[in-house]
Amino acid sequence: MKLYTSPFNSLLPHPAMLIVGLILLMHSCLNEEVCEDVATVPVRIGFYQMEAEEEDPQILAIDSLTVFGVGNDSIIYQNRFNVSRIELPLNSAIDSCAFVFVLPSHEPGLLPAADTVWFHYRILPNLISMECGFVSFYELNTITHTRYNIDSLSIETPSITNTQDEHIKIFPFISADDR
Amino acid sequence: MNISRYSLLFLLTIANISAHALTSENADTLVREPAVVPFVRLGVDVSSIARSLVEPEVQQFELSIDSELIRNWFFTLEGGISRVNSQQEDFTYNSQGYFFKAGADYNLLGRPHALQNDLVILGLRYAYGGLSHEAPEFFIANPYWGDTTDELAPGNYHQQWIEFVGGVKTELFKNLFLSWTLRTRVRLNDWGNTELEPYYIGGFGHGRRKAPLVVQYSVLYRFGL
Repeated sequence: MKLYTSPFNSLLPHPAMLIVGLILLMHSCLNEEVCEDVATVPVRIGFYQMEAEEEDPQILAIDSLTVFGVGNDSIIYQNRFNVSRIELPLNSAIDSCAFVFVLPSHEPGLLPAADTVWFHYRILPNLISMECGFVSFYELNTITHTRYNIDSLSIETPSITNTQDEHIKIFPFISADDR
Repeated sequence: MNISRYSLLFLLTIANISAHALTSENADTLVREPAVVPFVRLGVDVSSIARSLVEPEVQQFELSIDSELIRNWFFTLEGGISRVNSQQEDFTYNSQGYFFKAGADYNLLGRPHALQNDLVILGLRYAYGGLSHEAPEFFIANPYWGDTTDELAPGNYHQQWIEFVGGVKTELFKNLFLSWTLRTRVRLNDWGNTELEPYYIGGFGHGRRKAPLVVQYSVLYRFGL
């Protein structure tokens, strides 16, 4: 039936290669995600301080840190020590929520003070996979805060998805020397 | 990990071809390539069938047509439709979409024999895809603030992308070809209902992938003109 036998017919695609390719195709289609790992998408916050001799912010470890959501009795971080990065769950039912940060006072002898941080964001539902279903991604719009112990903060990555990016930098008044 | 595997597979194939082509060159000496014979080649993407076995909620059908208008340059049109229908315990999601791609492939092999129609191709495509999708009901778990149930009304979504193609086409029997291509797709822009990112964009892949790398298998038949 075949008029011309090309040398490439024995090579392209070789049946074994075809099978390997199909296995790779199947493998690439399979969902490798563990649903528990992607079920919640937190906002990731790092604590930093500016030092005179350094151009970039330096990581700051906080002691006696307590964090909880406004209107929620459950405490997320309670009197934690040596904390430089935290993860907080945003409220996926409404487009804003607030957290209370209890940080050690930068004034010697004073009790820790509580700052409130408000997050305003856009909710972006995302179908992760047929197995894992929907999760909420977020797009941060603005963040406001009181200034008892938090000097300033900055939004580094407004898009909150299931990557490991740090989204916000917080600069407390305290420094590593005060701890 | 997958990228390196695919790349290795592709490089191994190219290496095999190159080695064989060298030995063939020694055996046969040709002085002139034959003239371009007008034809159209119609193809069907069969990898979508394998894909639907893994994820039956996602279905896609794709056809291609190509022709050698200039020696070793194959101008290609590809197009198809896609559909996602998923009704799970905690969500319902539906989408219907279409896509088309236009571009060209260059044959690296040349034409060492008048009856030799096998190709090793490198190509480029411009692609456009549009879809309508909705999530009539979905549940989002939030252990801290409380779980929510919501819905998203039907909306349209559009996307453009560029596709880089490399692969082989071989003539199994007269005029009947089998091909596999390694493709990577780079999203250019999107617009429309971006409140909900599409789960699957026909011809592109999963919506949240920035540059998916896929292997595509096709069966093609060549019609002489």
